[in-house]
Amino acid sequence: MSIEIINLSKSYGKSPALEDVKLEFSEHRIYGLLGRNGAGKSTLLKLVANRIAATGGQVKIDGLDSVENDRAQSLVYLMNDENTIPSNITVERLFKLTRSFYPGADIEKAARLAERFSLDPKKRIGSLSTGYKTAVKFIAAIMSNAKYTLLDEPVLGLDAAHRELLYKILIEEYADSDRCFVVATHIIEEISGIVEHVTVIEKGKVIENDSVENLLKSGYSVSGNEKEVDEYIKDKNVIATEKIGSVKIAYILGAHGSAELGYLEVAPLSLQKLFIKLTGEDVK
Amino acid sequence: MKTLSAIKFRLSELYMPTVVYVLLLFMASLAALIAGAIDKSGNVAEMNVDQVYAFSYYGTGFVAFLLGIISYKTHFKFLLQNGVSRQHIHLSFICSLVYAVLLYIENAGFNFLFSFVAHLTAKTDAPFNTNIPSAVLILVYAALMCVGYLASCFIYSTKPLTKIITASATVLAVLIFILRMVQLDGQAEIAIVAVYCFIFGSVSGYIYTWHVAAAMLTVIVFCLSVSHMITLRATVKK
Repeated sequence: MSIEIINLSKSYGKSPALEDVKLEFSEHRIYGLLGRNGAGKSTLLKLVANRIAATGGQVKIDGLDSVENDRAQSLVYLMNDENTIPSNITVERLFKLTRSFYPGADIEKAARLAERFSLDPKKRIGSLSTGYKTAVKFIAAIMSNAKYTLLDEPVLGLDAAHRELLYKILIEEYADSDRCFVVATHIIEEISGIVEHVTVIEKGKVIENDSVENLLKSGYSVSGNEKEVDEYIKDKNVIATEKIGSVKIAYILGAHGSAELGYLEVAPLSLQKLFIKLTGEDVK
Repeated sequence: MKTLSAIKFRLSELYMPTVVYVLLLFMASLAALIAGAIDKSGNVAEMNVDQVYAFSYYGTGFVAFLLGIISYKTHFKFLLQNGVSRQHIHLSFICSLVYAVLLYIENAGFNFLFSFVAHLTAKTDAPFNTNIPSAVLILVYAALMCVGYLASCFIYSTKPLTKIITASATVLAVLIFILRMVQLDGQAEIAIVAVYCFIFGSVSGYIYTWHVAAAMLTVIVFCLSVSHMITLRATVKK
């Protein structure tokens, strides 16, 4: 049982947003959907959730066609930055309405989560700050108990404490259920410890789709004295380098031989550095 | 299940504006009755009866139009967010046309109550007139809801270019119509006048009831068809 994305394409006018995308999101996993601005992440999630129509290809949700199909869409909940909730309703009415659309939705869970976010359920949506609106959307997504929960930039406008809480809730939910979460975000460092599988999209195409473990195995970083690092990386495939005081760090693709390292310190590759390498442009 | 929930959501969202309108209507009519009662100059209460009926008919028509307008943008976005297909979003609006019946019942009940109170407080011995409006009014209100819905749907979901072209075409058509009227010294084509009268004359009851019903059904079918086509292609805007 999974979401199957089969040769999916989407164009806006003449400019393609997604080209021939093939992917699969399976149960009981947390996927990271990474990509630069305008890469096509949000478009992909909107296509899965029937928010927009594809130019070509197909999305199947547990074998059901996702287009204009209430049964298939009962299995999916998309949280994104669109203002889809009427501003005149209260938070608790939103939870009740969500329950009416998603048979498995848990209103008590929503109340518990609202308390953890210090959110007053009597308040109207329109009176909430941007951060709290995001929190409400996230709670609605979690309480829906939708089998496939798609979170597009879920921490938009949240402060550090609430971001941490959101990730904590996500992990708890993942541990307690068979749900599949797809998290599309720019804040790679924050989700690198949560996601199990990473899909990188660049200019509408999937350029990497592998487990985090495999991706991080594909390289390493070395740090130490500048001269020693420079000497070491001469014949290596270096993704990026950075200097902090007298210490130089180099990010390298490939396996390392421990014998040649000397005094250099070795660490696993960072997902962010790998992402920057994969998407082709370093910070200037 | 989602379709039923969508219908319930639509009906619950239209409930409050309708209640507010009914309260306003009763308050306005109460004011008219008080004004009539305290005026010693003559048959004022009966004069106010006609004004209140007109207010009630046209006011309810306007409310029906507003109910149609508020039934698109917010409802569409929320229902799509909750996984309801566009087909069923449109179907749920059709079900919400039951409000046209409710508005008619409210109108009839109000007219009956008001004419009864006016009869009791009137200074003449005029016979009691129940003034129950024609049932065709249901179709008029339904048509106005559909027109409001189509307008809202068109403004929210069509491309700017489509809006510009449609607005220009409408203005051009109106101008041609006026110019033709002036050119023919008021003798414009009978067909155009007939259509115009069917649609705009319905509320005042100058046209035969069944002609009005046919005209209103045409308006309803047209609005629902076009709004259906637009809804099927609509997306959520931020």
